[in-house]
Amino acid sequence: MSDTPAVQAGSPARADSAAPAGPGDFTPAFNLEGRDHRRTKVLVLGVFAIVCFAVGLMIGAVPLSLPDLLRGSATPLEAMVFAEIRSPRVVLAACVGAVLGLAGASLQGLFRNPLADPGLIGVSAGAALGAVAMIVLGENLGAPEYLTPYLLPLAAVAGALAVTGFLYSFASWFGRFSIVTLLLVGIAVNALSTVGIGAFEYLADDRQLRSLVFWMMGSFGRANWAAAIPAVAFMLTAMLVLLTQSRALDKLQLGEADAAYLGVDVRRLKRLVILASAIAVGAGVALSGMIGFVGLVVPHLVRLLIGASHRFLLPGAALLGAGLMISADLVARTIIVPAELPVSLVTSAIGAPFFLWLVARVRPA
Amino acid sequence: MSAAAMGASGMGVVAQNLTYQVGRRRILHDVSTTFEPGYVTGLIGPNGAGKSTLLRLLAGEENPTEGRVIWAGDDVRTLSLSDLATRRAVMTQSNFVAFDFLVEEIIALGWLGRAQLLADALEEVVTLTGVSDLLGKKFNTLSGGEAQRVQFARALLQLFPLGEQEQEQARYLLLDEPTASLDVANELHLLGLVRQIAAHNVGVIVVLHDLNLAARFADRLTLLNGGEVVKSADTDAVLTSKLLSEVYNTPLQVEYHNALDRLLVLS
Repeated sequence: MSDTPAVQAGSPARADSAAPAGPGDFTPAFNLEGRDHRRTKVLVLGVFAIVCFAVGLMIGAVPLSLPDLLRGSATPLEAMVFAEIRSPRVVLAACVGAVLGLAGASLQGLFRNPLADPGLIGVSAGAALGAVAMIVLGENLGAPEYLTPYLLPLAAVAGALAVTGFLYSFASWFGRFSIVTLLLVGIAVNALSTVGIGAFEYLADDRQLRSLVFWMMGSFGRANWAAAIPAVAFMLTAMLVLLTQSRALDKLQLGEADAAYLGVDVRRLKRLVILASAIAVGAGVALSGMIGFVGLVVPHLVRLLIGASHRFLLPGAALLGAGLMISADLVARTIIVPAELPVSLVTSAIGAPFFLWLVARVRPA
Repeated sequence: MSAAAMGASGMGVVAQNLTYQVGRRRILHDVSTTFEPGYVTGLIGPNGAGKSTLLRLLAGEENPTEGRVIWAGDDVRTLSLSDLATRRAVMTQSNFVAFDFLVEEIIALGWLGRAQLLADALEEVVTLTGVSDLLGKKFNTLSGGEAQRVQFARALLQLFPLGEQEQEQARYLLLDEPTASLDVANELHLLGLVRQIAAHNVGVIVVLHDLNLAARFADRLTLLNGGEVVKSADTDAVLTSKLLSEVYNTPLQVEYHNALDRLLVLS
């Protein structure tokens, strides 16, 4: 029988007779209609982000009218508030929200774990430790004045990178992290960072201490263009890199070996995602402190809305993150005018119960 | 064309003196054999014989400690991941997906061609593999057997479109126990498809546990034991009572069944 394999192979009779579901009952219901759907939903999230952006610019302690500003009929005070206070703040909130949503989604894809939030697993804490070290020790570096705005984000990026790299090598050594293991390691990393931050608090003088307290809280209250522009440049670059990795991240969900069989250079993907997430989160934390749960909640909401494919999840998470962060900051700065809440209080108040719900839902196996 | 002639003409996948060690443990020892397009070759042998390891080395996922794997004349180590991906699709036994991907999204991951052509190829593969009733479902809610059928469709899509004629670059389908979780009807359907695909000048290398499936669907068999090739030849020549009883260390009887026109392995 094996002498004439080509003849056997050419005869499909055997195959068809055994077919449990023959051809012909294929319904073309999914034929790319679903894909268009997903694209539309990303666009809707884009509109949501733009609306939040406009509303965020207009509402505040000093109400502003965008039409007035555009016509030039705003008072000099209003124009100043718009250009120097409101705009950098809203831009920064949008960027940090986008970065946290996008980095959260990317890290979750990389770890193949729905609870890999930059805050929970210690990446934000690592960034904060780097930034705090720079605040307390940076003055002794004797770096020229014009470099100062870059030093803080760089230190934060270094801290975030150290944690992410450590987590990934630890995970590879461990086999794939289970959900529980990742969270436990995150607790340890967070605790270690807290120790480091505590040590720097002890070393800090009064003026530095006031800056440090700001890190603990997480706020956009001190946003200004001089500090924001370098960090925003870091964040935008890192976000662009992450967005290009969506197809590779999709394939990675099949497992590292299967992704490689589909042509994905898994080592390169890991390096890119770790590096870009660390840069994005580090630069965000450098300016706004630690803001929790956004990287957890936002990707999950987008998955519920659009599905799990990273091609739509990544841009969706960036847009929803931006919109929600502007909104959270809006609440933080308007709810007890003229004082304001730290924005992390708002995000945690919403995010922590959501986290509990998520933990109950995913039931770590 | 004889196996030797095809191997010499630079076609086919050649395992050349493969030895694979992890620490001091030797998993494969001096394995040499050739796989050709158009044929279904089964890898059989007892548990721990090195079947899956050989498949991984052939696929280029891992490099042998000694020896070479040659794809149509090229050492596998010199081929880029994306080049290899156009030459072969691999179906492993891993089925874990952390997020709620839809079945069609999972299958579409196999598509390496132009995006505009995806819809047609996807429809063809879905029809062929009979998974249309699973479309729209979340992959991670499927049963083990359903997930395996979807993974098979995904691997198949990677080889599409199948050429009607012999192509310049033969392609391969590497399957690691593709029917492990399937019921008997789906098992026969899948392996029947494998035969149809082989007819399109695709070389199929499949790890099989069930010797009767091997007898029915494989043109050739490579019998491994303890990391070494016991015999690599046409199916009839490998499936003998004496050889199998020896290798599996248990009495096995191979008989020719007239009505079915194939060998049966009885335990």
